[in-house]
Amino acid sequence: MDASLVTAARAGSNAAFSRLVARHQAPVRAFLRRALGGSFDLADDLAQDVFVAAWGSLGRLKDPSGFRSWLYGIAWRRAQDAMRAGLRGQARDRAWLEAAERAAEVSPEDRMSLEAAMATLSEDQRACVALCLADGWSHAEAAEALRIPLGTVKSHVARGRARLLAALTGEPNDA
Amino acid sequence: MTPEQTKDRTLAAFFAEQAPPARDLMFEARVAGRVARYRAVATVLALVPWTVAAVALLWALVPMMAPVIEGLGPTMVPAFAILALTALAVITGQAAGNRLSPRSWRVG
Repeated sequence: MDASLVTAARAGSNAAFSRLVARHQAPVRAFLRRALGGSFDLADDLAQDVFVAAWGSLGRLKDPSGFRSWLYGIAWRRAQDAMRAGLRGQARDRAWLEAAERAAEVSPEDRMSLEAAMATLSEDQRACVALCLADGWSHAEAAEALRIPLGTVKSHVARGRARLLAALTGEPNDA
Repeated sequence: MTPEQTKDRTLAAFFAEQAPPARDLMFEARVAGRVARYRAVATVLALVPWTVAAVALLWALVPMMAPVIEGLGPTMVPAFAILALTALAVITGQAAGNRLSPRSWRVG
């Protein structure tokens, strides 16, 4: 489906590109929210930039069927740029306020512990956790999108998961 | 439920809290608006060289065409104007149709 939409969008179809945005907006925004570990507003603004950048460089996408990986690659590079620009600190302040308004399926203590644990993960670990644990991507897919070696992705996911689960019990975890 | 399963479930719920709705028309509209602005700017920029070339060509041709235009002008100007407007309408309609029609990407 993505391939035919990409082909049509490259030919100038706004409708096809809108359909691509509709199909991928939720997972891309969720990925950015988790990878940035911060404000939903910041992640959503960044997601808009990602789709606009994707529209501008659709012509350079070699394999239309690889649109999803390619799009997440753009999202990940944008997220890295944002983190390097120091936006995460501001984002965390806003996230703390936003967290108070969210549904209470997770207890506030657990949420704070998990957010703190996510913040201690490296950028790469957080991205791997966001894709593989939260979104159910395979390790190989995540490795391709993030341009990280497969073995590194596996170890990032395992260590990230261990650290998050340890945070729920309050155990120290130096993985 | 084992403690391990409980923790996995809490982790899944934590991740689910961060997921936006599957359909978000506001977000899609904002992206569409930004893409439309970029497309408009790109279209104008792409037309600049053609406009410059057309002006230069007309400037070069005016001395040769002036006697002919003076003779035929009053008769032919309305016809040329109608032809030009019709061509513009057809081209614009086709371009808009290609961009906005879902037929261009529907499969099956």
